[in-house]
Amino acid sequence: MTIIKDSEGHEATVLNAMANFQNHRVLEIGCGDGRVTWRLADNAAFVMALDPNADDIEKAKGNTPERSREKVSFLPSTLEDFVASYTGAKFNSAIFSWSL
Amino acid sequence: MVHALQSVRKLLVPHGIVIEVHNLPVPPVIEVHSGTSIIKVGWLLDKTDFEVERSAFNALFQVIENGEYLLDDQRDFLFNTQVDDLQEMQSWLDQWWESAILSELTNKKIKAAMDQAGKGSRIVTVIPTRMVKLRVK
Repeated sequence: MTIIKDSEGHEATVLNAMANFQNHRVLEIGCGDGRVTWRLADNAAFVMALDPNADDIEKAKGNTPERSREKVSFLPSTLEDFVASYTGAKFNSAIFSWSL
Repeated sequence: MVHALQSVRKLLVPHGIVIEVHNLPVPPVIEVHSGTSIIKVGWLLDKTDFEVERSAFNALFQVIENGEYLLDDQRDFLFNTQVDDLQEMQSWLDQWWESAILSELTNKKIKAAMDQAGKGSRIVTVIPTRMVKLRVK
């Protein structure tokens, strides 16, 4: 059983063409299994990845490549709850990937 | 959706960016691939007629009209999802696209196309997708 999302890599190509996340602090809303998170982490300074589904967050954590682990923080949370409690530094960019 | 865009704006630096990705509100084409051969079998419909996708676009439109964000860029592309068989396709739809409708006829056509294509064939759903880049105004 293998589900391959973005099998042609078009999403990655367009994302790279549209935005440069070099040294950005990135907030990802609705990270799912982390498919986009790891890509962001390659360039960003830090990625805060949210998803309300705790199972998906655990899956994303488990699948995170070694090179990205120090740069990514996964949090089981809705955007609403995160906004209400967050007091840290502001982000340079935010991503809603099928999660608006 | 407008509220989410407004909320996230509070967490962004001045001139910070938002990338938003959503399907275009049109039925994705379903294909069966085997080597270089592609058989187009039908479309994936949506019970809500893509209401979520229309709402996402309306929310983006609204925050730009409100003067909260600027439209910086927009690009459309095809997001392909590949699965091994119908069971896997149904499992993907159950998890990620609850309102999808895979008609009985399309189901039969997929089976027939996979039989025709032989071992190693894959089902590919070709999803027209839009990526929008907003900038905090």
